[in-house]
Amino acid sequence: MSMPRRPLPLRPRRRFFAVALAFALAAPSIAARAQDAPPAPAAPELAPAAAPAPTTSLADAAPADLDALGVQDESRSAGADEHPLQLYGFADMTYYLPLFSSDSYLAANVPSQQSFVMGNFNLYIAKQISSRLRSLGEVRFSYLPNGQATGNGYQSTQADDPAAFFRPTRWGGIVIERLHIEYDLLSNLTLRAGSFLTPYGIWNVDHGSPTIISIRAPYIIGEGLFPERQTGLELIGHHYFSEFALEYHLTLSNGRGPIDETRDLDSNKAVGGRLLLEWRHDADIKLGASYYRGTYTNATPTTFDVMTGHASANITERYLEQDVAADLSVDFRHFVFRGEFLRSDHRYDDAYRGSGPTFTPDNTRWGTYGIFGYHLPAGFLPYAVLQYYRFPDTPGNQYNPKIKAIAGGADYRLHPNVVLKAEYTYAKLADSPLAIIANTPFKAFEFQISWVF
Amino acid sequence: MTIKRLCVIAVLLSNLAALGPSRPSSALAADGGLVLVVGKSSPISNVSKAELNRIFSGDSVKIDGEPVVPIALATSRPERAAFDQAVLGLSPDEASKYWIDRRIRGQGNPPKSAPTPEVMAKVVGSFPSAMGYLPASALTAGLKPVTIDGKAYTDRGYLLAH
Repeated sequence: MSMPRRPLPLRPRRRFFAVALAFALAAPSIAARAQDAPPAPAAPELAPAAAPAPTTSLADAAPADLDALGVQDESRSAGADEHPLQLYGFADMTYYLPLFSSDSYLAANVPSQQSFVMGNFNLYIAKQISSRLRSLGEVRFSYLPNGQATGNGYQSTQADDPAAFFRPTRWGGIVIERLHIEYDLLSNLTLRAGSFLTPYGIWNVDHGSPTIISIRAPYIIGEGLFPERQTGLELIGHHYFSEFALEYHLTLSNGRGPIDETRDLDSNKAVGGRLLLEWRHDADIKLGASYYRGTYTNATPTTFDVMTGHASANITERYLEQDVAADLSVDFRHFVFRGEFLRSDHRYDDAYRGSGPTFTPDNTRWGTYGIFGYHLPAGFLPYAVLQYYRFPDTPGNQYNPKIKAIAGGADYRLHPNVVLKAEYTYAKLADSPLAIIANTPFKAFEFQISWVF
Repeated sequence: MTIKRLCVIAVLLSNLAALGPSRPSSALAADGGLVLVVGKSSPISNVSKAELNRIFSGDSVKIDGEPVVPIALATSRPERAAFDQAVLGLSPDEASKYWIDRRIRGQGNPPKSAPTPEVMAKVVGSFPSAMGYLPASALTAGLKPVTIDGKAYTDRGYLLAH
């Protein structure tokens, strides 16, 4: 059994080039920063209540000036559009440079080619319907399913484009990240209905690449120990006690399932909740705890047998899921910390332990991560990430029982709306009984630009 | 060799720091600082610093059972930068990032803003639930100054003084 080749380290000239490039990218923005005022956050500016300066003609008058004079625009009353629809979003692109051998087992599991990667393109569609009603939708445009690895190649969505004389084009998909309506029952109690991001931890709430600190999501987040989103109802409340705030979330949903956005295959609703205690004084400290309990059921579609006169569906998999999480967020002067602990238990119904070649045993997964950062002047935020993940004790994971990973990097705020990130990750499948796995760490550099629009 | 590189990076960073965003204009000092105001008919007469922070950082806050609607000055105004620094502890760039992050989380928008202190005075004076701030020189008869932690704007140690 041969050891995998060690990747070549970056040569000194390349390093110098990288530092010089980073500085060259940063310098113009810093100069611009010194001259430009930061952009106004997108808050509606109030119209002057005083009579506006006279304009030469009615056509030249700004709508705000007309409002101030008491002139009404009836086109706006169609649909009672006091608050306009808001469109905004974020996007990111990453350069991925793997530093492991393309001849190793890793290459069969993660990309081994250096690549530019188009990541998120998320669009928010928000509307204040009335003083108590709000709607928020977030969709992610994706190239998927194009490029999905299949048994003997990559899935292609290529099709002939009738708008371009049937030249080939590739289509992509849309992920509905969330879509919900909110109603303020009280000033401190809101009911949300629809598809919402599960209120747990930090990462799932921060969510957007310009908002989160590191490039790569911690492994436990990607593993989905909690459902990323749920369909149902969420009650959100808060109370303030001087410098302390208590926020709580209660959820009632279809729970996790193969088609949970539209159907709860066991009619058994999942419940969950989150408590968040915040102390805002010299430091901003948030301590949270989250819980989820629901039954996962997968089944065949229901069929009706005319001979017996009965309808039936075959359950293929069913387990009770209980998840707990704790998180801590600290902002103290220039210091930043984000940390989460997650644990997920699956207890199977003995009759429905999956339809694979082996039955799935009851299992527990857990993991944790911590991100430490320090704000330097001029928008730099160097950070380090430590993480640990314990895979479930299932037959497929006998060679990869746990992951230990460290990462280091830096964010640079080129503009309030634009973030540059550079990150190095070193991860190891520790304690694997196979030396070729245990001794072949994942190593990669990534550079990302993410922006808000 | 590594230490040498670290030194070079440290020098670069310190040079960048010198180019960083400047603190709010000291022109406010000549104007007597800012005054937190509500309309004359508002029942609010005092807020704590913690309440003020929550009101202007996007949280839904009631004082004496009344909801408070914050009105900020436009981000182009030096008073906005001074207020955000004093109340939220955020520089203009940090404040922009703060509101961007909140929108991406789906937590809402920054307060509505008034382009000038004169507009601020008219808006706050017209709506009992509104709370805003302006230079002391722009106070009008329709406004009621609000004390912060019991301190009036004429007192030493008032949060928005200079």
